[in-house]
Amino acid sequence: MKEKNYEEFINYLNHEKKDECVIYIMELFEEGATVRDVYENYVIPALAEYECDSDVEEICIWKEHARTSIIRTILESSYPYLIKQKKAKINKTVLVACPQLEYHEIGAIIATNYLILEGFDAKYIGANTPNEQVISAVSILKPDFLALSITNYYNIVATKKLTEKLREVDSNLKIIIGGQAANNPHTLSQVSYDFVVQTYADIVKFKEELL
Amino acid sequence: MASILSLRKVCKTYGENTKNPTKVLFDVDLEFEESSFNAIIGQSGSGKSTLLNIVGSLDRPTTGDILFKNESLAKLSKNDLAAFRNRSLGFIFQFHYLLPEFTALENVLMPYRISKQPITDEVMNRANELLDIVGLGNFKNKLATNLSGGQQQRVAIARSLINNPAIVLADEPTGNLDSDTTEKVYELLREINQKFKTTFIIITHDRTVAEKTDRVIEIKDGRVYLDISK
Amino acid sequence: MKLAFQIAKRFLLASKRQTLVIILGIAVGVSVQVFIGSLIAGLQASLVNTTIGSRSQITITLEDEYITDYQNLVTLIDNSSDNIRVISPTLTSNGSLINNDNSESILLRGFEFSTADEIYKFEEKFIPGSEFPNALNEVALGLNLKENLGIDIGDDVEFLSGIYGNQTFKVVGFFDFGVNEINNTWVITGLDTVQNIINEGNVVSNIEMQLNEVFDAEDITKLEIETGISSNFKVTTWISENQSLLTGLQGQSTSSLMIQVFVIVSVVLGISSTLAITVLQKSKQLGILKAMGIQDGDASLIFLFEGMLLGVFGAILGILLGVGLLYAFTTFSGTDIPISINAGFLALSAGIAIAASMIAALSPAIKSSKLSVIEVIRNG
Ligand code: B12
Ligand SMILES: Nc1ncnc2c1ncn2[C@@H]1O[C@H](COP(=O)(O)OP(=O)(O)O)[C@@H](O)[C@H]1O
Ligand SMILES: [Mg+2]
Repeated sequence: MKEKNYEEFINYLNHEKKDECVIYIMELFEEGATVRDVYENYVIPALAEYECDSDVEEICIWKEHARTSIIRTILESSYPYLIKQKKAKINKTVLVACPQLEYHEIGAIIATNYLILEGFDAKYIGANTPNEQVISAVSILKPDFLALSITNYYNIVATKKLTEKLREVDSNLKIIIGGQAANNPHTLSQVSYDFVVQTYADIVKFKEELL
Repeated sequence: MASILSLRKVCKTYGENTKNPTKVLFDVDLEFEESSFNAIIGQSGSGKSTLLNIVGSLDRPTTGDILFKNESLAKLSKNDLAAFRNRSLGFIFQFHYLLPEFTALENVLMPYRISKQPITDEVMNRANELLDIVGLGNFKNKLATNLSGGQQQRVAIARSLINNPAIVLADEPTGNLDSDTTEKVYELLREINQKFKTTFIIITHDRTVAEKTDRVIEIKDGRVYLDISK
Repeated sequence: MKLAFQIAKRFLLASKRQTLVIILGIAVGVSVQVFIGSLIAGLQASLVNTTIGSRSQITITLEDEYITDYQNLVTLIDNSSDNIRVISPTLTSNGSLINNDNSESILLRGFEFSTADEIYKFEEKFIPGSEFPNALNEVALGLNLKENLGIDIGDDVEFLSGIYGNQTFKVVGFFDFGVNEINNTWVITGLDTVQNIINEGNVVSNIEMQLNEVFDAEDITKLEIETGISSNFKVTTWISENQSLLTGLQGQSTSSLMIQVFVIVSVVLGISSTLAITVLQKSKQLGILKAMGIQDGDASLIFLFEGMLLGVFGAILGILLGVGLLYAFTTFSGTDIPISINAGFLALSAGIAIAASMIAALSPAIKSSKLSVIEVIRNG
């Protein structure tokens, strides 16, 4: 892989050079990179390792927003390659959502794409999805799994209420939890869930256990 | 990190000896760590204030015990509890509760004076420094009644810190402040938490506030319903 | 302590009008007390003064005999009590005075004027032109004798006694005691004149005294005078001879005391109820102080100090008012009731007012220590 050139990509990103960033990633795909490689080596680190180099809070905020926007474009542009690279369908439906007031959605989008790659029928239904809308989607679409992406631990407050309600509405539904808030076991223990899945490897393992 | 405060099976029943006693807290077990920043949330009437008042030894649990640094509070007399509050706790209430007859500086010094120690230059400097930290350096000698709501609350914050308490307890400290002031007050509390390593336990309805804490405890119908941390 | 005092001060200053009203209430009470107390004390003093102010308050006699070694006795008695203001030996005899066809029976009283004048205040009572009858056989007469006998200053007059014979006196003055009994019968002269007439040597018939504390006469007699002298001496006090005056005075004292007690009771009730309201008004502050760890005792002290401060200022103002009232009364009422303003009494009234205020503050103080923090914090 062009790992040695990660610095180059980050440099474009640091200066909000959107075109250069997108072209750079497209070239990677043209050279045969997998969606997983690109996400794991470029997209995810670009956000996870982001450190603001300014002391001014306002600057940091808009820089972060600009960066997120570039990453989004890259994610959208990667979809055609994803269609090509995805594995055989396994006939399992997953709804992916960020709960009420959770705006961090990049992780959820990436997770959705990973699930699609592994043959799941995965749908992302949005950031900041109010509890009633999640419940409505679950009762209409009747998925096998509901995957919730939670970044800010505070959103566990709303998630707990949501999962309790979901258990009442659909007792067969399996709930998957992912996102940074799930990394604290004590915090995680407060919600009712069936699986915790974080990385691509986790998804592969999860799939194996299902089949 | 060491535990500074533990609640052991704390129950509270109001009007125990009346016809219709109301049980408000049920077997609350909690540990708080030193220099942590904790939020308590929950619907109105869930028992948050009752819990905080018991933690603050303003009220006694019906059964159960509170341990401060592994020492039981149940054994202490009324005056011992008062001395404990004075030494180890700081309070910030929703309605500011300054003494209107005294100036900002005098209010800040009040917990120290209650401790009956002589006023030294060191304490004066500390009081002044605290007032500076809360941004009221120029209002020191104003009577409490002549300050705005936000200013009064900031004086109350400075006051809660004068005796270098181990724990600051706050019951909806920004409950009647506008959102800008609320933001400022919380940034201040967080700053103090980091600077002085003071443990904070704050009741709040404000999501943006609770988001900034290390730990959120939700009380529901007198029980710990949820307890999460970063 | 210091903190409680400062808080008390601030609490009082914070509600100035209310504080002023309480202080005025106490002041009115104190001023009434001062006014009535001083007035009655003045009345009593003047009554006592007119009754016994110009006469012997304790008299020592020997039954049917003259006192011979009287100088030593006088010294002995004088030294026996600090309360004896003046002591004076006298020799009294009787007889008639005759001028031309007029004759009057009289009482001939021989004095040592240097001391006797302090008892009888002759000098004040002499009519113009009179002198002390210092020389042998000089006399001064009760004013009524002037007309009854038809004589004047400078005239000679004959004294006639069935036992001792005749003697010619020279009239050097007249005095007016305002009491007919004395003005009709008294003839005063030096001790030596009477001793000369009765011819028994250096003797006296009575030893007379006046006291600093007239109401202690009986005690002094029993405890100090009688213990030092022979039981042959007969000691009489003004009290044993004036029971009715004494009960009158006591009646006045009691009614004065009653008035003062009621004034204090009303002051106490007033302060107590106002301070009770203050505890309610300040319950928020008390709650916050308790949350901050003030000890219950110190919380109570705040109200005791409030009581004390109210008492002190009420007392000061009350005394000023009372004295002003007395001044106005003496100046404008037209009566000549003598008023005695006694520093001790003023201090006592002030002390009582302060003590009463603190007692009144006791129940609010206890109430404040019982006040529960939690109620205050909860109810905002
Ligand atoms: C980008 C970003 C934002 C963007 C989000 C844009 C968007 N539309 O998503 C914006 C600017 C909007 C934002 C806002 C805020 N942010 Co922000 N943000 C970040 C940042 C820099 C990157 C997050 C990210 O996208 N990472 C990349 C993704 C791919 O990683 P990920 O989310 O961890 O997901 C991976 C796994 O967790 C997993 N996964 C995630 N979900 C799921 C779900 C399933 C089903 C599966 C299988 C796997 C899975 O897969 C992903 C790939 O491995 C992080 C910093 C960081 N270190 O993470 C802060 C961070 C998350 N933000 C933070 C905060 C505090 C905020 C704000 C509160 C800031 C503020 N003061 O306003 C707001 C809150 C908004 C809200 N109400 O939710 C904190 C959170 C701390 C906490 N409380 O836990 C962080 C950690 C920054 C920090 N160190 O303080 N933020
Ligand atoms: N002194 C009291 N007597 C009886 N019930 C009380 C008393 N104080 C509080 N309560 C009840 O206890 C419950 C919890 O109150 P509180 O702790 O103030 O709740 P919160 O602070 O979460 O709003 C409420 O139902 C309230 O009515
Ligand atoms: Mg409350």
